[in-house]
Amino acid sequence: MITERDLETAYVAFNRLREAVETVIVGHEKVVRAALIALLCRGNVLLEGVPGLGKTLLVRALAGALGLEFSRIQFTPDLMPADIIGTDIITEEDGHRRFAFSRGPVFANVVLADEINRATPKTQSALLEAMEERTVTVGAHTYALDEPYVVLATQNPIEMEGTYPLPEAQVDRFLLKATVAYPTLEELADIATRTTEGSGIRLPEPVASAEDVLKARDVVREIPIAEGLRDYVARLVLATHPGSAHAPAKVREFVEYGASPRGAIAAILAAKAHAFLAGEVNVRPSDIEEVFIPALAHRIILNFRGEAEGIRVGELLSDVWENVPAL
Amino acid sequence: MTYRETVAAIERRVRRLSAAATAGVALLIPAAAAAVAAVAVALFTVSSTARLSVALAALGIPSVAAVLGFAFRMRRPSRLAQALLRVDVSLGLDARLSSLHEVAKTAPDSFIFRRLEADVSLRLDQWRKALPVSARTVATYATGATCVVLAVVLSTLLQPPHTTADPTDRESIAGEVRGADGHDEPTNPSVDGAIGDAPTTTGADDAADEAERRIDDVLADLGLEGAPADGGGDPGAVELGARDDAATFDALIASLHERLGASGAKLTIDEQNALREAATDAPAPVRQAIEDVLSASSDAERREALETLVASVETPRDASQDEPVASSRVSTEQEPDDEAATIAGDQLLAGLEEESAGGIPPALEGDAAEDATREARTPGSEDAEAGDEGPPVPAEEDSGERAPGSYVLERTPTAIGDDGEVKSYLTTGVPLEFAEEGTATSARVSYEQIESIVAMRELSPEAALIVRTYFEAITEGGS
Repeated sequence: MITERDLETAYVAFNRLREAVETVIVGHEKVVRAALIALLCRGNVLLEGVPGLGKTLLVRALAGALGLEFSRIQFTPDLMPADIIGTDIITEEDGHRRFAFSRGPVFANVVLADEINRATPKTQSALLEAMEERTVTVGAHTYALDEPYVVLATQNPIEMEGTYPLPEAQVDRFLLKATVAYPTLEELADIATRTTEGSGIRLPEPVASAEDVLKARDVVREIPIAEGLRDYVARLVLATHPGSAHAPAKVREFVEYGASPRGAIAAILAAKAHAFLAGEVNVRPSDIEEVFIPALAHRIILNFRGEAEGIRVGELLSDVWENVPAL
Repeated sequence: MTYRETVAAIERRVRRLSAAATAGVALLIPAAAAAVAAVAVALFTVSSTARLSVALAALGIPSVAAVLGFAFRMRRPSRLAQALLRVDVSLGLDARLSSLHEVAKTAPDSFIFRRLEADVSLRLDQWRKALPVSARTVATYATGATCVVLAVVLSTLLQPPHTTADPTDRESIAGEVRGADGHDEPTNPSVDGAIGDAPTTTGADDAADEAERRIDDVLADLGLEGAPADGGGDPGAVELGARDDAATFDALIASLHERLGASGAKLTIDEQNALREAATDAPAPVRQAIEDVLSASSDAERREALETLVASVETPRDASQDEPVASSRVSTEQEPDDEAATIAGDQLLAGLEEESAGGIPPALEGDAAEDATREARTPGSEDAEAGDEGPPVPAEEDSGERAPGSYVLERTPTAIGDDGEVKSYLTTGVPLEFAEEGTATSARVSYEQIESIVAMRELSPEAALIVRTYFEAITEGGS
């Protein structure tokens, strides 16, 4: 059972972490919050946005503020799984040759999988075990990844040529999907100022430790959610299925598959983390509303008609939110 | 009020509200069914017992169902989580009360519980406004209660339509009957009250009295007990009542003639009253003759006046041979669509008159006084009876003569409107069965025999029913 002190400590630590990241990243509050939520929920985040919006900088700033090991993997079509997870190599020691495992870039606390949709599905799937199980298996050996562990993957939504859409199984393993929007005028001016004057952008110093993150995870899991709200989340998730009685007309028309049970789990966990970051001790309906679209957007698969008509999943989920009452 | 007390109160209220909603539905369904049953009873059932049963059922069954529904739902688990969330939303508690309830189940000693309890305690007093009685429940109860009231009112107060027929029709028929018999006697007050007044009474007391009045009572007043209920307002039944009055008057005259002529006695008080009453509606010659009888000072003068009265009675009687057709004409005017049925009824009525004149009065059988009167005023009756022994006589020459081969060629001594004589509507030579000598009954004709004639006319079912009712009325039971 957590104590009030644990809650206060965790809250203060993550508040410092957020402030540190925001000293580097201009705007993108929701993206930063999504990354923190993923960190608190032992999840991963899929960042979607055009190049040059600061996705990589965000991940590096987060790793730097936490004082954790950071690695970046640039996904390309010729990238192989061994390039990610590592491989056994022959080493010679004391006159004896033997195989030794050489760790790949996946062995870090904060992993940036840049343009993940440029690699082949085989390589993409090499991240599956690491993302879900926090382990890596090479040959007969399974290696545990250090906690906290978080994968932040980016993908370019515009440039589709030479890309490989992420398999549904892998997409489902991302806790949240955050869209990195283009900065506003004021934000853009601020970015220009920060990067062109003085010594440029400097990554933040560590303001929280891995231990703080793990304790905060425990606190988040203790935050209560009312039974009525759990039912509400379940109804929302069911409403994304075209065959559900709760589904609105657009979902019936344009959706092929709705969100999986992981979607409900992600929504509830993310709502808890959101409430924690807001300084609350219980999940509120507004917490669910904030995480509803990020937690489910990447889990909805449109049908052919939806794809052909360019239906946006976010709009469909907004329709679901409006058509499913909390009471 | 602490959190636990509040949650307990909320749970009780939720349980009661859901039980009340269930009870409302349980009330509404049988109440609606009772209302439908009451409408059916009001339309088709005369029996007051059946009506009372439906009224009691309409009151009892929905009430019992509501109580059972309430008890059943009270024992079911309540949806407390939804209710708590509703209170949260209503009071703007950001799901704190619901979360508090959740923490109370898992970690009641945690600091989260204490913090949430402190947050919600200030606003918990207003929780009742978040759980009002729903409009749907109120509407359900209102509808159910309306159905119950409707069922009770319909089953107890409303009478079947056929007991409240148009009074003007009955009155006109009765008036025609009185005119047909040459008497203007007042009809039986109870009959008038039952037939003529019931539908026009609007006062609450009168309406209640009329509602209690059953068609059987009306039939009893008409002297037609055992007749079908539909015949309660049948013109034939009224005709028979008027005929009874005429026969009574004839019997009175005959009795006076016999008693005063033989003994020379004086009129009794009752006889004087009866004569005065008869004089009020009698034609002028008859009235004058009655007054002469009443004012006669000597026996000889009284006998002479009595002879005059007898003679004056015979004159309008002969002139009124056509009157039954007049009553039938009324029926024709009332129901032009059923003209064929009316014609068939006229034939039967004419047949009745013929039998009355020819010594075969099934409806008045056994009335010795009338027989005596008929013999006194119908000189041709002997000829008709004598004709039984002779050869068949053509109908055009001698109506009502009976053929030795036990059939008669009927000639109806009347006409229907502008259509000519009724005989044109009769099938001449139809054999009739006569009772053997010594039996009490006269000719018996079953309705099945008549039915073939009705079928030939291609009458509508309603018209055929009128014919049958009339037939059963004049034959006192069907043959």
